[in-house]
Formats: sequence, structure tokens, C-alpha cells
Amino acid sequence: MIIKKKLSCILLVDDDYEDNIFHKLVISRMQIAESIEEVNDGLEALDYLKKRQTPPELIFLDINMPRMNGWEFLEEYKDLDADQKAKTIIMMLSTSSNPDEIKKAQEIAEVSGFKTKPLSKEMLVEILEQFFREHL
Amino acid sequence: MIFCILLCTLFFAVYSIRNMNNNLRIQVDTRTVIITLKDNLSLLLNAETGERGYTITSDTSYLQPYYEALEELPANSALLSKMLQGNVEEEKELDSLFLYVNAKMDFIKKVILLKNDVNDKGIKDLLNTGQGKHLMDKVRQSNQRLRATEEEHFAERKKITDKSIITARIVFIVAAIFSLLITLFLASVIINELNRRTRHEKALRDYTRELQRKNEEIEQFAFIASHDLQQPLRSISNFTGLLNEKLQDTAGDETKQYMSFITGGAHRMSALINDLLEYSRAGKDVQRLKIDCNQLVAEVLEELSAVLKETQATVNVSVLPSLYGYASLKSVFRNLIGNAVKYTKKNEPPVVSITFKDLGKEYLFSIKDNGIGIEAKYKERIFIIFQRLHTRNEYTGTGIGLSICKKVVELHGGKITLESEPGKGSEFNFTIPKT
Repeated sequence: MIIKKKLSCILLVDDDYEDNIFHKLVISRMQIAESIEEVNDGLEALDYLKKRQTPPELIFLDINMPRMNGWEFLEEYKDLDADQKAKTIIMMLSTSSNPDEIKKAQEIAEVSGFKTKPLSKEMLVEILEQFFREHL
Repeated sequence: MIFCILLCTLFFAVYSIRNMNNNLRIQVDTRTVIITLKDNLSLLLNAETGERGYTITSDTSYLQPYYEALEELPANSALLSKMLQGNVEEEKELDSLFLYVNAKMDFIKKVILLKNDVNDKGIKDLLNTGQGKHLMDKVRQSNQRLRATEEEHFAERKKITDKSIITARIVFIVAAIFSLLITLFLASVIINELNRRTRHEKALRDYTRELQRKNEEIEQFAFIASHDLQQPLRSISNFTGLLNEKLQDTAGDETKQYMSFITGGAHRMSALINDLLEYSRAGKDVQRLKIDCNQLVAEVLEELSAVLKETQATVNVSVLPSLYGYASLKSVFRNLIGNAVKYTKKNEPPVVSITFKDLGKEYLFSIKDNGIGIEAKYKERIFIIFQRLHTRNEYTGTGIGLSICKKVVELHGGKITLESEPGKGSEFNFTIPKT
């Protein structure tokens, strides 16, 4: 994939070991990001975001995770400082395409979209075209 | 029926009381006649005694009863006549009585007049005729006869009255007992019915609770099936995909074929799980809402636009009604229209027509196509979940579309049927009752 400017960081928030390996592989093959990070649940994600200087530009958020799931994470995410959140696209990434969940995601302002696993090259292209035009 | 018997009993009771009252009245009347007759006789006797006293003492004060009799006998006689009116035998006897009474009074008058004239001899002669005694005897006899007759009547009436009193009492007691029995009977019927209903209600409540519990169980299961089963499948798919890439250059044809079977298997399983979930979720909506079927179909056609373009399909939609239904009605249209453009004849673009009929109590929708058609013997089977009539290679699909249609249509209270001839196309008809 030809990309003018790579994204600085893509964060994967998912507890599944194999899904993370696969998604990392797909993204790194496309060479669209400087770094790809992963955390295993909502709590770790919050920690990570609070510690980081510049927030990741794209977050893929799983729903079902232990300790703090996707929805609970979003509740806490709202209260983060503006500069920790700015310009971050959150994509919900779920196993099932339950219409109730899709509807719920649409109602949260911070969420930019809802995708079904597994992440694919086509999905990434779509996301870049929609949200990261200036990088192309 | 019980009500009729009760009513009859009531009428009978009223009648027997009236009867009894009538009889009592007649009894009283009879008594009065007897008393009046006795008065009549005593008036006359007193007059006679007075006449005798006067005759012996010349004291006119003894004549008081005579004057009394003179005054009161007319009224007494009038009363007797009135009371015995209509009774031929007694009227005759009464006439005879009055005759003798008048005759006796005349006799007494004669004696008094003679005494007034101090005609002692005349009195003696008159008294010796024995006419006075004779007349009195006649009066007595007649009076007696009349009284006897009335006593007879009285006795008869008394018997009847006594009977009717007993009858009235019996009828009342019977009616009272009967009413009581009926009341007890009705009360027990009502109590039984109430008990029965309470039991049924409880059973219904228990059953509903159990049903709700089972539903929750099923939904949980469906969710787990969809979610937790998908992940391992995903791993299989993803990494066989990667494996495929790695072995692309080095693997033999057989290896490649095995890989594709594995991947294919994983994909199919995923599709089955998704379909199963869709089936379990189908029609789950709680409320009926107003649905404009034209809009619904328009949305479906929009969603299927890629396929419709690809197959060069023509879809003719007539104006459809608005109705009250569940949102899942959309999936019925989607599956039926989707099938219509999928199971087409080779080299013949699909032509689909969607129409409806208003059958009064329900709407009948028809989706007709010019596809490959279905044999009659499979008419029922195709609605069963995952049942297909073709292999995967011939036509794609898991065989869930029609079972979802059936489930949703039946959820609305309707029925779905099929008219088809192999080679000539199919027409799917389903009804949606109006609410």
C-alpha cells in the first residue's frame, strides 16, 4: 500500500492472543504505521493512554474482555483529557455483527465505526480513505 | 330451567294463599249468617217473653223487647236475604221463616192490643187457640233448618280451609327448602369454578415463568454459540490463510487442496453459526410497529442492488399496503427476493414480481419468479432449517433463508406456502393478519 505518511501508532485493545498476532501481521504487512501496540483489556488501555505523550491515532477496540470490557472502557475514556484523546479514531472490532451492539456503538460519540473480525487489508484501506486522507 | 321451577313454585305459593284467604272469608260469611239467624230468633223470643210479661203484669215496660224487635227485625231480615242471595233452597226456607216471623209478630200485636183494651177474655181465647205456640214452633223449625244448612256449609268450608292452610304451609316449606338447595348448589358451583380458575391461573403463571426462563436460557446459549465458537474458527481461518501463503510456492497440489478444504470448512462453519444466530434472533422484536411495505421492499432492493445488477434482474413491485408488524418482516422480503434472483435458469435473467391481495382479515403477499422451480415433494422440506435441495457447488447458501421466513411469518400469525413447477418458476405466498 502506497502511503505518504505513516500513522505514528495504532493500538490494539484485545484479550485474544491469536487475534492480536493476526491483526498485527495484517497491519504491519501494509506498512501503514510506525508502531503497533497491544493491550489486553480496558484497564491496561486506560493506563497506556494516560502514560503516553502523544495518543495513538487509531485504536481498534474489542468488546468482550476481562476486568474492563469495551463499553466500560469507553465510559472511562470520555473523562480523559482532551489532548489525550484528540484526533484518535476508535474502531470497535467485534466477533459478531449483533445489530443491538452496532446501534449501541453508533450512539457513542467517541466511536467512529464498527467492524467485524478479522481485520483485513480491505477494511484498513477503507479506514484510511475515510479518516486519514491526508496520510495518503 | 332452575329459574322456571322457582317461578312456578312462587306462583303456586301465591295461589294457595289466596285460596286459603278466600276460604277463610267464606267461613266468616257462614258464621255471620248463623249469628244473624240466632239474633233473629232471640229478638222474636224476647218479644214473646215481653208480651207474656205484659199480659201478666200489665206493665208496659215489659213491652220494650217487642218494640226492639219491631225496630230491628226488618234490618235483620234484609241482611239475611242479602247474605243468602243466590242460594235457591235457602231463599225458599228464608221466605218461609219471614212468613212465620211476621205472623208471630202480628199475633203478639193482637195480644197486646187486646190487653190494652183490658179484654182478658179475648186474650184467653186467643191464647187457647195455641196459635202463638204453633207459630213460634214453626219459626224455630225454620230457623233451625237454616242454621243446620249453614252449619253444614261451615263444616265443609272448614275442612277445605284447613286443607288449604296445610297446603299453603307445605308449599312454602317446600319452596323455602328448594330455594335453599338451589342457593347451596349455585354457591358450590361458583366456588368450584373459582377454585378451578385459580388453579388454572396459577398453572398459567408457573408455565409462563418457566417459559421465560427457558427463553433466557436459549438466548444465552445463542449468544455463546455465536460469540465463543467464532473465535476458534477465526484462528483456524486466519492461520490456514497464512499457512497457505507460506506454502504457496513449495506445496504440492494435494497440500493446497487440503488447505482449501480446511479454510472452506472454517468459513462454512462460521456462516452456519451466524445463520443460526440470525434464526434464533429472528422476530425477537417485542413490539409491533406501523410498517410501510413499499419502503421495506425499497430498502431490501437497495441492499441487494449489487446482486440485482449482476444478474440483470427485473423486479416489478405493485403498490403495497402499510400494516402493523414486526421489523423482522424485512428479512422475509429479503430472503424471498434474494432466492428469486439466485435460483435462476441459465441464460435467463430473473424476473420477479411482488404483489398483494387484501383478503379482509389478512393481507396475502406473493413473490413470483421465473426461476428453476421446486418439485412438489419438497414443498414442506425447504422450510426446514439448513435443508437444501442443491449442493454447495451448484448454489451458495446455508439453507436458512426460508426457515427464517417461516418463523417470522408465523410469528405474525400468518402462513407461508409455495406454488411451483420445476422449470416454470415459483410463487411464494404468505399471509399477515391485520390486527
